[in-house]
Amino acid sequence: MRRNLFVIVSLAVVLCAASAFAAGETATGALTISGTLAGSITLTIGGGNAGATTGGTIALGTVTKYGSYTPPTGFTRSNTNTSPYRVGGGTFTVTVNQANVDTPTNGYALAASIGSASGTGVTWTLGVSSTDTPVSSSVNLSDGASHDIFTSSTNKGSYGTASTETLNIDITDAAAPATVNPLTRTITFTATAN
Amino acid sequence: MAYFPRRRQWLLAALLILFTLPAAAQIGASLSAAPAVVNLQGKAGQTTTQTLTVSNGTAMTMAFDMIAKDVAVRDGKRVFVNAGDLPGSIAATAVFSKRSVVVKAGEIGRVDVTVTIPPRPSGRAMVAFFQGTTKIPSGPVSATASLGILFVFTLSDNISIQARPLMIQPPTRSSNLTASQECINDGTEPVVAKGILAIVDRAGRVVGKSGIPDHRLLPGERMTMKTDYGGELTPGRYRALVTYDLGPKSLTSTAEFQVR
Repeated sequence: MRRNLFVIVSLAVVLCAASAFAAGETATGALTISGTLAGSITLTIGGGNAGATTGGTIALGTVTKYGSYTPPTGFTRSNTNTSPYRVGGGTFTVTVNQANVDTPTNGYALAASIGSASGTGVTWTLGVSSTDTPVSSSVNLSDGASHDIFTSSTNKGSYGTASTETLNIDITDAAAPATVNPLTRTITFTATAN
Repeated sequence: MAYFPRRRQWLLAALLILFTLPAAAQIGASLSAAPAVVNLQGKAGQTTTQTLTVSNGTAMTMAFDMIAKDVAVRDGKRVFVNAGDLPGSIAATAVFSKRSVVVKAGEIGRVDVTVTIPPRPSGRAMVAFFQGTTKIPSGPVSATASLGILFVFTLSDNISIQARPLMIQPPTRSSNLTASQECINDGTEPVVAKGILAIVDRAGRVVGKSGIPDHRLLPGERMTMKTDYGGELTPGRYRALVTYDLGPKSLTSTAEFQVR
Protein backbone atom coordinates (compact mmCIF):
# COMPACT_ATOMS: atom_id res chain seq x y z
CA MET A 1 0.00 0.00 0.00
CA ARG A 2 2.76 2.41 1.08
CA ARG A 3 4.82 1.42 -2.02
CA ASN A 4 1.83 2.20 -4.30
CA LEU A 5 1.47 5.62 -2.75
CA PHE A 6 5.17 6.29 -3.33
CA VAL A 7 4.83 5.32 -7.01
CA ILE A 8 1.79 7.55 -7.52
CA VAL A 9 3.43 10.57 -5.87
CA SER A 10 6.61 10.07 -7.92
CA LEU A 11 4.64 9.87 -11.17
CA ALA A 12 2.76 13.06 -10.32
CA VAL A 13 6.01 14.92 -9.63
CA VAL A 14 7.51 13.74 -12.94
CA LEU A 15 4.38 14.72 -14.92
CA CYS A 16 4.22 18.18 -13.34
CA ALA A 17 7.90 18.77 -14.06
CA ALA A 18 7.47 17.64 -17.67
CA SER A 19 4.54 19.98 -18.24
CA ALA A 20 6.52 22.85 -16.71
CA PHE A 21 9.39 22.26 -19.15
CA ALA A 22 6.95 21.87 -22.03
CA ALA A 23 5.31 25.18 -21.15
CA GLY A 24 8.52 26.98 -21.93
CA GLU A 25 8.39 25.71 -25.53
CA THR A 26 4.75 26.36 -26.25
CA ALA A 27 3.72 29.33 -28.36
CA THR A 28 0.79 31.31 -27.01
CA GLY A 29 -2.33 31.89 -29.06
CA ALA A 30 -5.56 33.80 -28.69
CA LEU A 31 -9.05 32.57 -29.21
CA THR A 32 -11.60 35.28 -29.93
CA ILE A 33 -15.05 34.44 -28.76
CA SER A 34 -17.72 36.66 -30.21
CA GLY A 35 -21.40 36.90 -29.49
CA THR A 36 -24.16 39.20 -28.43
CA LEU A 37 -26.49 39.14 -25.48
CA ALA A 38 -30.18 39.64 -26.10
CA GLY A 39 -33.02 40.01 -23.65
CA SER A 40 -35.78 37.45 -23.82
CA ILE A 41 -39.22 36.89 -22.36
CA THR A 42 -41.18 33.72 -21.77
CA LEU A 43 -44.86 33.08 -21.14
CA THR A 44 -46.18 30.07 -19.23
CA ILE A 45 -49.79 29.06 -18.75
CA GLY A 46 -50.30 26.55 -16.00
CA GLY A 47 -51.38 25.91 -12.45
CA GLY A 48 -54.81 26.79 -11.12
CA ASN A 49 -57.60 24.28 -10.65
CA ALA A 50 -58.32 23.78 -14.37
CA GLY A 51 -54.98 22.22 -15.14
CA ALA A 52 -54.53 24.26 -18.32
CA THR A 53 -51.13 24.64 -19.93
CA THR A 54 -49.79 26.55 -22.92
CA GLY A 55 -51.27 24.71 -25.88
CA GLY A 56 -53.38 22.61 -23.53
CA THR A 57 -57.13 22.08 -23.67
CA ILE A 58 -60.09 22.07 -21.33
CA ALA A 59 -62.95 19.85 -22.50
CA LEU A 60 -66.28 21.36 -21.43
CA GLY A 61 -68.25 18.46 -22.86
CA THR A 62 -71.87 18.96 -23.90
CA VAL A 63 -73.16 21.82 -21.80
CA THR A 64 -76.79 21.75 -20.72
CA LYS A 65 -78.69 23.84 -18.18
CA TYR A 66 -80.94 21.07 -16.95
CA GLY A 67 -80.19 17.46 -16.29
CA SER A 68 -76.94 15.70 -15.87
CA TYR A 69 -73.79 17.60 -16.78
CA THR A 70 -70.29 16.89 -15.55
CA PRO A 71 -68.12 19.97 -15.91
CA PRO A 72 -64.37 19.60 -16.37
CA THR A 73 -61.97 19.73 -13.45
CA GLY A 74 -62.12 23.05 -11.63
CA PHE A 75 -65.37 24.16 -13.29
CA THR A 76 -68.89 24.17 -11.89
CA ARG A 77 -72.31 24.73 -13.37
CA SER A 78 -74.19 27.39 -11.41
CA ASN A 79 -77.12 29.81 -11.54
CA THR A 80 -79.32 27.12 -13.05
CA ASN A 81 -82.41 28.88 -11.64
CA THR A 82 -81.74 31.96 -13.72
CA SER A 83 -80.79 33.04 -17.19
CA PRO A 84 -77.96 33.25 -17.93
CA TYR A 85 -76.58 30.24 -16.15
CA ARG A 86 -72.85 29.76 -15.80
CA VAL A 87 -70.20 27.20 -16.48
CA GLY A 88 -67.11 28.58 -14.88
CA GLY A 89 -64.78 28.93 -11.97
CA GLY A 90 -61.92 27.18 -13.72
CA THR A 91 -58.67 28.93 -12.94
CA PHE A 92 -55.24 28.91 -14.47
CA THR A 93 -52.20 31.09 -14.05
CA VAL A 94 -50.26 33.15 -16.56
CA THR A 95 -46.64 33.95 -15.75
CA VAL A 96 -44.27 36.08 -17.79
CA ASN A 97 -40.57 35.97 -17.03
CA GLN A 98 -37.63 37.87 -18.48
CA ALA A 99 -33.89 37.64 -18.65
CA ASN A 100 -31.51 40.41 -19.70
CA VAL A 101 -34.25 42.92 -20.53
CA ASP A 102 -32.75 46.41 -20.13
CA THR A 103 -35.62 47.86 -18.09
CA PRO A 104 -37.29 44.98 -16.21
CA THR A 105 -39.00 47.38 -13.80
CA ASN A 106 -41.11 48.59 -16.74
CA GLY A 107 -42.82 45.19 -16.53
CA TYR A 108 -44.84 43.71 -19.36
CA ALA A 109 -48.12 44.17 -21.17
CA LEU A 110 -50.56 41.26 -21.37
CA ALA A 111 -53.72 40.93 -23.47
CA ALA A 112 -56.23 38.13 -24.01
CA SER A 113 -58.55 37.18 -26.84
CA ILE A 114 -60.82 34.28 -27.78
CA GLY A 115 -60.20 34.94 -31.48
CA SER A 116 -63.79 35.17 -32.70
CA ALA A 117 -67.07 36.47 -31.27
CA SER A 118 -68.86 34.14 -28.90
CA GLY A 119 -72.30 34.34 -30.54
CA THR A 120 -75.49 35.86 -29.21
CA GLY A 121 -76.38 34.81 -25.70
CA VAL A 122 -72.97 33.56 -24.66
CA THR A 123 -70.53 35.68 -22.69
CA TRP A 124 -66.93 34.73 -22.05
CA THR A 125 -65.24 36.58 -19.20
CA LEU A 126 -61.89 36.31 -17.51
CA GLY A 127 -61.60 37.29 -13.87
CA VAL A 128 -58.09 38.57 -13.19
CA SER A 129 -56.45 38.29 -9.81
CA SER A 130 -52.92 39.51 -9.23
CA THR A 131 -50.71 41.36 -6.79
CA ASP A 132 -50.22 43.78 -9.70
CA THR A 133 -52.98 46.15 -10.71
CA PRO A 134 -54.73 44.87 -13.85
CA VAL A 135 -56.64 47.21 -16.15
CA SER A 136 -59.82 45.57 -14.88
CA SER A 137 -60.59 42.70 -12.52
CA SER A 138 -62.99 41.26 -15.10
CA VAL A 139 -62.39 41.20 -18.85
CA ASN A 140 -65.22 40.47 -21.29
CA LEU A 141 -63.76 38.60 -24.26
CA SER A 142 -67.05 37.92 -26.05
CA ASP A 143 -66.40 40.20 -29.04
CA GLY A 144 -63.36 38.19 -30.05
CA ALA A 145 -61.09 41.25 -29.97
CA SER A 146 -57.90 41.56 -27.95
CA HIS A 147 -58.43 43.00 -24.47
CA ASP A 148 -55.78 44.38 -22.17
CA ILE A 149 -55.11 42.70 -18.85
CA PHE A 150 -51.90 44.58 -18.08
CA THR A 151 -50.56 47.58 -19.99
CA SER A 152 -47.85 49.92 -18.71
CA SER A 153 -47.07 52.25 -15.84
CA THR A 154 -49.48 51.65 -12.92
CA ASN A 155 -51.19 48.81 -14.81
CA LYS A 156 -48.02 46.95 -15.77
CA GLY A 157 -47.47 43.28 -15.07
CA SER A 158 -44.44 42.37 -12.95
CA TYR A 159 -42.13 39.70 -14.28
CA GLY A 160 -42.26 36.45 -12.36
CA THR A 161 -45.55 37.29 -10.66
CA ALA A 162 -48.29 34.90 -11.70
CA SER A 163 -51.72 36.31 -12.38
CA THR A 164 -54.66 33.99 -11.86
CA GLU A 165 -57.35 33.98 -14.54
CA THR A 166 -60.81 32.63 -13.80
CA LEU A 167 -62.79 31.63 -16.88
CA ASN A 168 -66.57 32.01 -16.79
CA ILE A 169 -68.97 31.26 -19.63
CA ASP A 170 -72.48 32.64 -19.14
CA ILE A 171 -75.18 31.22 -21.37
CA THR A 172 -78.69 32.62 -21.68
CA ASP A 173 -81.69 30.35 -22.17
CA ALA A 174 -82.23 32.03 -25.54
CA ALA A 175 -78.79 31.20 -26.92
CA ALA A 176 -79.32 29.01 -29.95
CA PRO A 177 -76.95 26.05 -30.36
CA ALA A 178 -76.96 26.62 -34.11
CA THR A 179 -75.56 30.11 -33.58
CA VAL A 180 -73.07 29.57 -30.80
CA ASN A 181 -71.76 26.10 -31.60
CA PRO A 182 -69.17 24.91 -31.55
CA LEU A 183 -68.54 26.18 -28.05
CA THR A 184 -64.88 25.99 -28.89
CA ARG A 185 -62.42 28.81 -28.43
CA THR A 186 -58.70 29.22 -28.05
CA ILE A 187 -57.80 31.84 -25.48
CA THR A 188 -54.66 33.57 -26.66
CA PHE A 189 -52.54 35.46 -24.17
CA THR A 190 -50.14 37.97 -25.68
CA ALA A 191 -47.19 39.28 -23.67
CA THR A 192 -44.86 42.12 -24.67
CA ALA A 193 -41.97 43.64 -22.75
CA ASN A 194 -42.45 47.29 -21.86
CA MET B 1 -20.32 9.96 1.81
CA ALA B 2 -23.25 7.75 2.84
CA TYR B 3 -23.19 4.22 1.56
CA PHE B 4 -26.32 2.71 0.01
CA PRO B 5 -26.62 -0.89 -1.18
CA ARG B 6 -26.94 -1.12 -4.98
CA ARG B 7 -30.64 -2.09 -4.85
CA ARG B 8 -31.40 0.92 -2.69
CA GLN B 9 -29.47 3.18 -5.08
CA TRP B 10 -31.73 2.06 -7.94
CA LEU B 11 -34.79 2.71 -5.80
CA LEU B 12 -33.56 6.20 -4.94
CA ALA B 13 -32.83 6.96 -8.59
CA ALA B 14 -36.30 5.82 -9.65
CA LEU B 15 -37.94 7.97 -6.96
CA LEU B 16 -35.85 10.98 -8.03
CA ILE B 17 -36.99 10.60 -11.65
CA LEU B 18 -40.63 10.21 -10.59
CA PHE B 19 -40.51 13.44 -8.58
CA THR B 20 -38.61 15.39 -11.24
CA LEU B 21 -40.69 14.57 -14.34
CA PRO B 22 -43.93 16.44 -13.55
CA ALA B 23 -42.01 19.55 -12.52
CA ALA B 24 -39.99 19.53 -15.71
CA ALA B 25 -43.14 19.15 -17.82
CA GLN B 26 -44.77 22.17 -16.19
CA ILE B 27 -41.73 24.41 -16.38
CA GLY B 28 -41.15 23.51 -20.02
CA ALA B 29 -44.68 24.31 -21.19
CA SER B 30 -43.90 27.84 -22.24
CA LEU B 31 -43.15 30.01 -25.24
CA SER B 32 -40.19 32.35 -25.36
CA ALA B 33 -39.15 35.15 -27.67
CA ALA B 34 -35.88 36.95 -28.22
CA PRO B 35 -34.81 39.66 -28.33
CA ALA B 36 -37.43 41.06 -25.98
CA VAL B 37 -36.57 44.65 -26.84
CA VAL B 38 -34.71 46.11 -29.84
CA ASN B 39 -33.28 49.59 -29.26
CA LEU B 40 -32.40 51.38 -32.49
CA GLN B 41 -30.98 54.78 -33.38
CA GLY B 42 -31.29 56.31 -36.80
CA LYS B 43 -32.97 58.80 -39.07
CA ALA B 44 -36.06 58.91 -41.23
CA GLY B 45 -35.61 56.87 -44.36
CA GLN B 46 -33.19 54.40 -42.82
CA THR B 47 -33.90 50.68 -42.88
CA THR B 48 -33.01 47.96 -40.43
CA THR B 49 -33.38 44.18 -40.53
CA GLN B 50 -33.61 42.20 -37.31
CA THR B 51 -33.88 38.48 -36.70
CA LEU B 52 -36.59 37.46 -34.26
CA THR B 53 -36.80 34.03 -32.64
CA VAL B 54 -39.53 32.12 -30.89
CA SER B 55 -38.85 28.98 -28.85
CA ASN B 56 -41.60 26.41 -28.47
CA GLY B 57 -41.29 24.79 -25.06
CA THR B 58 -44.72 23.15 -25.24
CA ALA B 59 -45.45 19.56 -26.18
CA MET B 60 -47.16 20.42 -29.45
CA THR B 61 -46.44 22.12 -32.78
CA MET B 62 -47.38 25.80 -32.65
CA ALA B 63 -48.13 28.15 -35.52
CA PHE B 64 -47.72 31.91 -35.52
CA ASP B 65 -48.66 34.75 -37.85
CA MET B 66 -46.26 37.67 -37.97
CA ILE B 67 -47.98 40.99 -37.24
CA ALA B 68 -46.65 44.48 -36.53
CA LYS B 69 -48.44 47.16 -34.53
CA ASP B 70 -47.51 50.69 -33.56
CA VAL B 71 -47.17 51.65 -29.92
CA ALA B 72 -48.96 54.89 -29.12
CA VAL B 73 -49.18 56.66 -25.76
CA ARG B 74 -52.61 57.81 -24.62
CA ASP B 75 -53.26 59.32 -21.19
CA GLY B 76 -49.69 58.51 -20.24
CA LYS B 77 -50.03 54.77 -21.02
CA ARG B 78 -49.16 52.60 -23.98
CA VAL B 79 -51.66 51.19 -26.43
CA PHE B 80 -51.14 49.03 -29.50
CA VAL B 81 -52.53 50.40 -32.76
CA ASN B 82 -53.01 48.40 -35.95
CA ALA B 83 -50.40 49.03 -38.65
CA GLY B 84 -51.43 51.88 -40.93
CA ASP B 85 -54.11 53.31 -38.63
CA LEU B 86 -51.84 56.19 -37.62
CA PRO B 87 -50.30 58.62 -40.11
CA GLY B 88 -46.57 57.91 -40.22
CA SER B 89 -47.08 54.36 -38.99
CA ILE B 90 -43.75 52.57 -38.51
CA ALA B 91 -45.50 49.20 -38.24
CA ALA B 92 -46.93 49.68 -41.74
CA THR B 93 -43.38 49.54 -43.13
CA ALA B 94 -42.57 46.20 -41.45
CA VAL B 95 -41.83 43.43 -43.94
CA PHE B 96 -41.44 39.93 -42.54
CA SER B 97 -39.39 37.25 -44.28
CA LYS B 98 -42.27 34.85 -43.55
CA ARG B 99 -45.89 35.76 -42.98
CA SER B 100 -46.30 32.79 -40.70
CA VAL B 101 -44.05 30.29 -39.00
CA VAL B 102 -44.69 26.79 -37.70
CA VAL B 103 -42.51 25.65 -34.82
CA LYS B 104 -42.41 22.04 -33.69
CA ALA B 105 -42.28 21.14 -30.00
CA GLY B 106 -38.89 21.91 -28.55
CA GLU B 107 -37.72 23.79 -31.64
CA ILE B 108 -36.94 27.40 -32.50
CA GLY B 109 -38.47 29.49 -35.28
CA ARG B 110 -36.70 32.46 -36.85
CA VAL B 111 -38.18 35.33 -38.84
CA ASP B 112 -36.44 38.42 -40.21
CA VAL B 113 -38.26 41.72 -40.12
CA THR B 114 -37.21 44.79 -42.09
CA VAL B 115 -38.45 48.16 -40.90
CA THR B 116 -38.06 51.54 -42.60
CA ILE B 117 -38.47 54.75 -40.65
CA PRO B 118 -41.09 56.85 -42.47
CA PRO B 119 -40.48 60.60 -43.09
CA ARG B 120 -42.73 61.71 -40.22
CA PRO B 121 -43.09 58.75 -37.88
CA SER B 122 -46.15 58.87 -35.66
CA GLY B 123 -44.39 57.41 -32.67
CA ARG B 124 -41.12 55.94 -31.58
CA ALA B 125 -42.05 52.31 -30.98
CA MET B 126 -43.68 49.33 -32.61
CA VAL B 127 -44.17 45.70 -31.68
CA ALA B 128 -43.56 42.67 -33.88
CA PHE B 129 -45.84 39.86 -32.74
CA PHE B 130 -45.53 36.12 -33.02
CA GLN B 131 -49.32 35.81 -33.03
CA GLY B 132 -50.32 32.31 -31.97
CA THR B 133 -52.81 30.78 -34.43
CA THR B 134 -52.80 27.14 -33.42
CA LYS B 135 -56.30 25.74 -33.33
CA ILE B 136 -56.56 22.81 -31.01
CA PRO B 137 -59.35 20.53 -32.22
CA SER B 138 -59.59 18.10 -29.33
CA GLY B 139 -61.09 20.37 -26.69
CA PRO B 140 -63.71 23.11 -26.53
CA VAL B 141 -61.49 25.54 -24.59
CA SER B 142 -57.79 25.80 -25.12
CA ALA B 143 -55.10 28.28 -24.32
CA THR B 144 -52.24 29.47 -26.42
CA ALA B 145 -49.80 32.33 -26.36
CA SER B 146 -48.45 35.14 -28.48
CA LEU B 147 -45.31 37.10 -27.80
CA GLY B 148 -44.44 40.62 -28.84
CA ILE B 149 -40.99 42.08 -29.45
CA LEU B 150 -40.72 45.78 -28.72
CA PHE B 151 -38.83 48.01 -31.18
CA VAL B 152 -37.80 51.41 -29.84
CA PHE B 153 -36.49 54.12 -32.17
CA THR B 154 -34.43 57.14 -31.17
CA LEU B 155 -34.34 59.59 -34.06
CA SER B 156 -32.98 62.86 -32.60
CA ASP B 157 -31.41 64.42 -29.50
CA ASN B 158 -34.65 65.94 -28.28
CA ILE B 159 -34.60 64.09 -24.96
CA SER B 160 -36.50 65.62 -22.09
CA ILE B 161 -38.20 64.54 -18.90
CA GLN B 162 -40.43 66.61 -16.70
CA ALA B 163 -40.30 65.60 -13.04
CA ARG B 164 -43.07 66.26 -10.54
CA PRO B 165 -42.09 67.16 -6.95
CA LEU B 166 -39.98 64.54 -5.19
CA MET B 167 -41.91 62.84 -2.40
CA ILE B 168 -39.98 61.53 0.60
CA GLN B 169 -41.44 59.28 3.25
CA PRO B 170 -38.94 59.43 6.15
CA PRO B 171 -37.92 56.15 7.79
CA THR B 172 -39.67 54.86 10.87
CA ARG B 173 -38.81 52.02 13.25
CA SER B 174 -40.73 49.63 11.03
CA SER B 175 -40.20 51.04 7.53
CA ASN B 176 -37.43 52.23 5.27
CA LEU B 177 -37.21 55.68 3.77
CA THR B 178 -39.04 55.76 0.48
CA ALA B 179 -38.65 58.22 -2.37
CA SER B 180 -41.11 58.50 -5.23
CA GLN B 181 -41.47 60.88 -8.11
CA GLU B 182 -43.74 60.98 -11.12
CA CYS B 183 -41.89 61.63 -14.36
CA ILE B 184 -43.27 62.43 -17.80
CA ASN B 185 -41.37 62.14 -21.03
CA ASP B 186 -42.13 65.53 -22.59
CA GLY B 187 -39.57 65.20 -25.36
CA THR B 188 -39.96 63.58 -28.75
CA GLU B 189 -37.63 60.63 -28.14
CA PRO B 190 -37.71 57.56 -25.88
CA VAL B 191 -35.64 57.75 -22.73
CA VAL B 192 -34.17 55.18 -20.38
CA ALA B 193 -33.90 57.09 -17.11
CA LYS B 194 -31.18 55.81 -14.78
CA GLY B 195 -31.72 57.38 -11.39
CA ILE B 196 -29.92 57.58 -8.07
CA LEU B 197 -31.05 58.87 -4.70
CA ALA B 198 -28.48 60.59 -2.47
CA ILE B 199 -29.17 61.61 1.12
CA VAL B 200 -27.18 64.58 2.44
CA ASP B 201 -26.99 65.69 6.08
CA ARG B 202 -26.94 69.30 7.34
CA ALA B 203 -23.15 69.43 7.02
CA GLY B 204 -23.42 68.59 3.33
CA ARG B 205 -22.04 65.05 3.67
CA VAL B 206 -23.56 62.25 1.64
CA VAL B 207 -24.78 59.76 4.26
CA GLY B 208 -26.68 57.37 2.03
CA LYS B 209 -27.30 56.33 -1.57
CA SER B 210 -29.80 54.14 -3.33
CA GLY B 211 -30.23 53.31 -6.98
CA ILE B 212 -33.52 53.79 -8.81
CA PRO B 213 -34.28 50.97 -11.26
CA ASP B 214 -33.96 51.97 -14.92
CA HIS B 215 -37.23 52.94 -16.56
CA ARG B 216 -38.00 53.30 -20.25
CA LEU B 217 -40.35 56.16 -21.05
CA LEU B 218 -41.77 56.65 -24.51
CA PRO B 219 -42.69 60.20 -25.57
CA GLY B 220 -45.76 61.25 -23.60
CA GLU B 221 -45.46 58.34 -21.19
CA ARG B 222 -45.82 58.93 -17.47
CA MET B 223 -44.37 56.77 -14.70
CA THR B 224 -43.72 56.92 -10.98
CA MET B 225 -40.11 56.21 -10.06
CA LYS B 226 -39.60 54.65 -6.66
CA THR B 227 -36.79 53.55 -4.43
CA ASP B 228 -36.16 53.00 -0.76
CA TYR B 229 -33.16 53.39 1.50
CA GLY B 230 -32.63 50.80 4.22
CA GLY B 231 -29.67 52.41 6.03
CA GLU B 232 -29.79 53.98 9.48
CA LEU B 233 -30.37 57.73 9.69
CA THR B 234 -29.91 59.46 13.04
CA PRO B 235 -32.59 61.99 14.00
CA GLY B 236 -32.15 65.31 12.24
CA ARG B 237 -32.80 67.21 9.06
CA TYR B 238 -31.68 65.89 5.68
CA ARG B 239 -31.89 66.70 2.01
CA ALA B 240 -32.71 64.07 -0.62
CA LEU B 241 -31.37 64.51 -4.14
CA VAL B 242 -32.56 62.41 -7.03
CA THR B 243 -30.60 62.61 -10.24
CA TYR B 244 -31.66 60.98 -13.50
CA ASP B 245 -29.05 60.25 -16.11
CA LEU B 246 -30.77 60.62 -19.48
CA GLY B 247 -27.66 60.07 -21.56
CA PRO B 248 -26.69 63.47 -23.00
CA LYS B 249 -28.27 65.34 -20.10
CA SER B 250 -29.31 64.86 -16.49
CA LEU B 251 -32.12 66.04 -14.26
CA THR B 252 -31.94 66.64 -10.49
CA SER B 253 -34.69 67.15 -7.93
CA THR B 254 -34.37 67.81 -4.21
CA ALA B 255 -36.58 67.58 -1.15
CA GLU B 256 -35.90 68.14 2.53
CA PHE B 257 -37.12 65.82 5.27
CA GLN B 258 -36.86 65.27 9.00
CA VAL B 259 -35.99 62.01 10.76
CA ARG B 260 -37.44 61.83 14.26
